[in-house]
Amino acid sequence: MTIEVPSAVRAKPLEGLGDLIGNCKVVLLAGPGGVGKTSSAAAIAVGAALSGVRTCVVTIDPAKRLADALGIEHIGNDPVEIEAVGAGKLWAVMLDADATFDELVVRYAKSEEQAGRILSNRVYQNLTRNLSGVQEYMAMEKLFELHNDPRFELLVVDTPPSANALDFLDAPRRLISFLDNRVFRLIMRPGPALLRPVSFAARAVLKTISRVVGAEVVDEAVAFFQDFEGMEDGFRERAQSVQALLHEDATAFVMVSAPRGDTVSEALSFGEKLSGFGFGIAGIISNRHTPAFATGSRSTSLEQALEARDRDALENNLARMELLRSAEDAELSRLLTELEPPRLARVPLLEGDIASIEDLAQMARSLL
Amino acid sequence: MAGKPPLIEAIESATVLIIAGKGGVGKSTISAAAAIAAAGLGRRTALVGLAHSRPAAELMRALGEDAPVMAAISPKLRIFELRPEEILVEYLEDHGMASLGRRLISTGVVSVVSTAIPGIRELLVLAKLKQMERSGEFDSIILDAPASGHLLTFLSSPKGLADIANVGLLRSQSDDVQALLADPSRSKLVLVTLAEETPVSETSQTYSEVESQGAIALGPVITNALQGLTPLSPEAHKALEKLEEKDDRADAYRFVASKARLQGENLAELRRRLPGCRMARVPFIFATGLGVNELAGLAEHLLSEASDDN
Repeated sequence: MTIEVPSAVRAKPLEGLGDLIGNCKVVLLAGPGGVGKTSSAAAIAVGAALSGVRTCVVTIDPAKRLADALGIEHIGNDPVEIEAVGAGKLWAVMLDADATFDELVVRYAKSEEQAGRILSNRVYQNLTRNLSGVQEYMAMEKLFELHNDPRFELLVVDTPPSANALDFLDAPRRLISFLDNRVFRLIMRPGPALLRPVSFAARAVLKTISRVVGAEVVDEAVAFFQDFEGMEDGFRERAQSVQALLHEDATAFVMVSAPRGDTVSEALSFGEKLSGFGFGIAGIISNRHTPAFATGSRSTSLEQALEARDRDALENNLARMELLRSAEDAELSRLLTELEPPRLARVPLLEGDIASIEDLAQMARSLL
Repeated sequence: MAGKPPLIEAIESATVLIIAGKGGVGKSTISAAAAIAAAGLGRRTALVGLAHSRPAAELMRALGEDAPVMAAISPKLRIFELRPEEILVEYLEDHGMASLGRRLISTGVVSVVSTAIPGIRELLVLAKLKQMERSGEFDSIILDAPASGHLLTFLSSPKGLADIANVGLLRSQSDDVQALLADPSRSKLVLVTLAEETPVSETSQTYSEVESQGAIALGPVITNALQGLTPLSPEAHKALEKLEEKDDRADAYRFVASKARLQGENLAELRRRLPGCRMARVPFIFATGLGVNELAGLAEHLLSEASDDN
């Protein structure tokens, strides 16, 4: 006999993400754009460092003031140690996706000439800039590298905002299937006679593509694939290791959202895709909540000092804030009902931008 | 001189408006409101979004609602969802290559090609816009541009492609799209932002980059979600200042006032950084979900707001 559990009895999420920093090696923050993902990542990292965990935060495109707050001046692929964070140690790195891809090419190339040819190929150059998911893939790549660095006990990773949510999970697979495509393989390797007819078909396809895009593009693309020959194995192996890391128990996905209709809808479709990839959500950060004002306090002296018009304006303003708050609560519960996260951190709207480590430490308190 | 509302000016000055901004600034909302505004001006309007973005889909549903406010507008407004792969196949069909299109899809070559040939997805979207513009079916075409930090990549993709493709259909498409973007009477870029520190600095940076790159003419910058605040009498302000007890109304007012002040400072900073740029302001809507009525309200606001220039 199965027992239906009424939704009201469902376990309430734990307040805060505090236990994650002690138990995880990697915390990935994901979610829609414009919800404060980068600040949240930095705040978690500062909080972790303050509690004595050696932490590195990996960011992609931090706002200027946040970068200043963290003390990172330049984009680069080497973590920079940040001064003066209580008892702990904190590093930050601002990712340079182009440089990371170039590094990979150099690593997997069989010779300097091969690397040189690829790096100067225009199709490659455009590919690294425009292939959707390259940035995301490089974030994962960097993550893997830092994961093996004994300096760090915890990595907090700010995933890039992306038009196609979760490109970063799909990117390694997409890159491999791109490099592995049958049609291109057949063009590269004439192979046994048995396969030749297919190869001819592939050539015919290419020829027609030339009519659309111009022969020069096709030639350069073919040159790129020829140069890449033999490097797919390195990329594939690496991509598999990255996937394995993401599926480890010590890796936690935290979703960052904000209590607005469109943001919650985006977060929900995000959650769906995440579970489609076989990942659970370890927690939700619901950011930018309007604070609660209605506590029932009314000052009699203020009451007496106010004209009716001013009193109405103040009452209306309070009522609107309460309305907004309840609408926000409804959005948050929509998210919680669907995703049932084990942890929840509700973060109030900050008055200004994050501008210092102290600001981050303060935000960390409401997160952890 | 009191100018026309900046959005009306933009709508009347160019057929294609590309509405762009970072994620979370309300770009899709503004696009939908702008499309309602254009239709409200009696123009045959297309609102174009990219498929697979759920908020866009919800807005489209909202616009499809059978609300009285839409009665006058609906006949003028059409909504399109674009998928780059479908545009490519349609394009090949139009050029007598239907079977090639099918074969490309079945072998997975389309996805490889669209990846291998950088910028082709962007180009396909822009080429479709150009085709819609050339068809003469629309007086206004509003594109809710893909939310990404790669606006410049998006806009420069035709040029990038033209640089590597010397001949072929791709080349001629790139040239046509570049011509569309370069002509201020055919297209304009409208940037949407928030009066917050980071969006302001990113928007002014993007604005300057687009301006110096010259790929497309710039329309107004729209600042979204500005906090409204009912003004109080000087006596009330004094009473609030002197107040020592706790009062919910005072707390709420101080919170909103401080937010409005901060937004005001950020807006002033945006004006300082972009002198001569036309600007429109959109109020914060007290609703977390946007239905047709809220969108129509925003459109009304954009149509009536006097210019807010330096």
